[in-house]
Amino acid sequence: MNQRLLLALLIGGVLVWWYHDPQERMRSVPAPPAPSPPITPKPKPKPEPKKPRRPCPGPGPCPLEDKEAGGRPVEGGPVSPDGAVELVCDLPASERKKNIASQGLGCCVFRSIDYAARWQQVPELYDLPEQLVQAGIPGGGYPEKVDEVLARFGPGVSYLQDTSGDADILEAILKTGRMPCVTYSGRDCHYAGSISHMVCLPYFDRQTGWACISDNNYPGNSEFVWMAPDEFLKRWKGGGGGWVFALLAPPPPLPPHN
Amino acid sequence: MRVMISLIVCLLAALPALAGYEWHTFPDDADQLSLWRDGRQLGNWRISTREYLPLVAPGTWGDPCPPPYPPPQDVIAPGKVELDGTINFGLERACLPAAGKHLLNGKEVSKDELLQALGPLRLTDDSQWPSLTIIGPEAARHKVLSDLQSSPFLAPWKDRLKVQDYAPDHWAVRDAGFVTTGQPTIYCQAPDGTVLHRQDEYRGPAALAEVLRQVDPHYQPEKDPDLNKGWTSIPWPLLISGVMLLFLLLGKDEKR
Repeated sequence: MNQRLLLALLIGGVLVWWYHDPQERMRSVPAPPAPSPPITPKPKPKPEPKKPRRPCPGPGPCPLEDKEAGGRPVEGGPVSPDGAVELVCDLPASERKKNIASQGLGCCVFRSIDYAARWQQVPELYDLPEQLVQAGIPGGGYPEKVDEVLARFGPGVSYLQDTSGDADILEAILKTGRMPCVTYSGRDCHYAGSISHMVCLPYFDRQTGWACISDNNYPGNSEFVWMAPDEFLKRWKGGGGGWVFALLAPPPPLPPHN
Repeated sequence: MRVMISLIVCLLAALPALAGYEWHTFPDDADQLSLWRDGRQLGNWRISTREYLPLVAPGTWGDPCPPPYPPPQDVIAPGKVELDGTINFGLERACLPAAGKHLLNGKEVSKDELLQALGPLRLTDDSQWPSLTIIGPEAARHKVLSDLQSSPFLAPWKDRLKVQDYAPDHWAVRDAGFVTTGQPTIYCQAPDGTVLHRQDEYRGPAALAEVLRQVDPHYQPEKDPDLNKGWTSIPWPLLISGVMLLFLLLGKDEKR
């Protein structure tokens, strides 16, 4: 009997082993993760060669160079003036049309939404200002009008609007790779005085210390305006602003890599 | 008095020169205006580039140059100067709400709801979702998208993937390193862009579901139910061992 019991225990042990081991082995059916390469620090992008000084592009003060700027707005390309960060939402210049007017009123709100729509591929809202012109709807935007325009030209399109001036929301939108459209009061290298305007915000991160706007009056590839986050927040909330719009459609995928 | 008269004379002299110019819009292209004089088209103004192209001969356009007659002011400069000197490029400041509001598809919600809620429209969570990108001709993309919406095989991933589809020449994929020649090419990428899977043709919803299962870090294949199999799904070594165990425990003892 003892021999039988021992044999039974042995077989039982084999069964227990049989039951657990295949599960362990089966877990590896999805291709086992490749050994992770040694972590190498990301090479710091080379700072863009300094452009020769050129005449001021607009009525505002001339752009200041890196250190001189002290966080104030500086004109630049898709990489921050110190070469540390690059735009989260780098919509190509070919997709960025200039602001126009419809029945005498500017369409900055709807041009900014056009940029976001192109970034997140919502084709119903492409060329939204031109759609307003053709439909005989005057420019000029505010949150309720955006609701009406989107109900007409993009029914079913999901979006958010916020007028609380809460910078957490800007960071949350950008963290997910989406393009925020924000109010902006000027006083930068393009505008000497106060303006009422909506632009896109392809970069904003209080940790890295940079914010960048993409202005639909100056859509060139070297006409982004970089500044310190605090400088941007003043301009976002200035003149009764603090309004942000964002589409909820997913952003484009990151470039593929192994 | 003499000054007034000379001004009026100048104006009258200038009027005939300007009067013949007319800007016309295109019903099918809001980005262009055409300049006409005496029933003849002189050139076109492109709003998006702010360029005037003279029409040299039918079908032949000259190099960009300043237009002989200024385009409508509201087209070239959408900014309007307000009473306080602010240049307004298209905000109706009087209509901006004084108190802050959080709005989702036009309805007021809380900040948390704005950031986290509304089912699949989560703003904060999907940054960690994998991306599924479909690149190819429209019909081929449509088949995959349609299956993602309706196939029971793909239902578990409906709200756990960031899905985008593009024509091969779309700017988002054309020069970004993606293979665009598949029928269609399907990429599955980790949130950091790492390619977890790529295929260059669509093999149906079941095969795609299998791929998505395999790239899911929480996937445990042993938990897959197989509703077609009964006791026959028990592995044969397990079956034989079980029978032997039963035999040993319940069988008669020869010594007795």
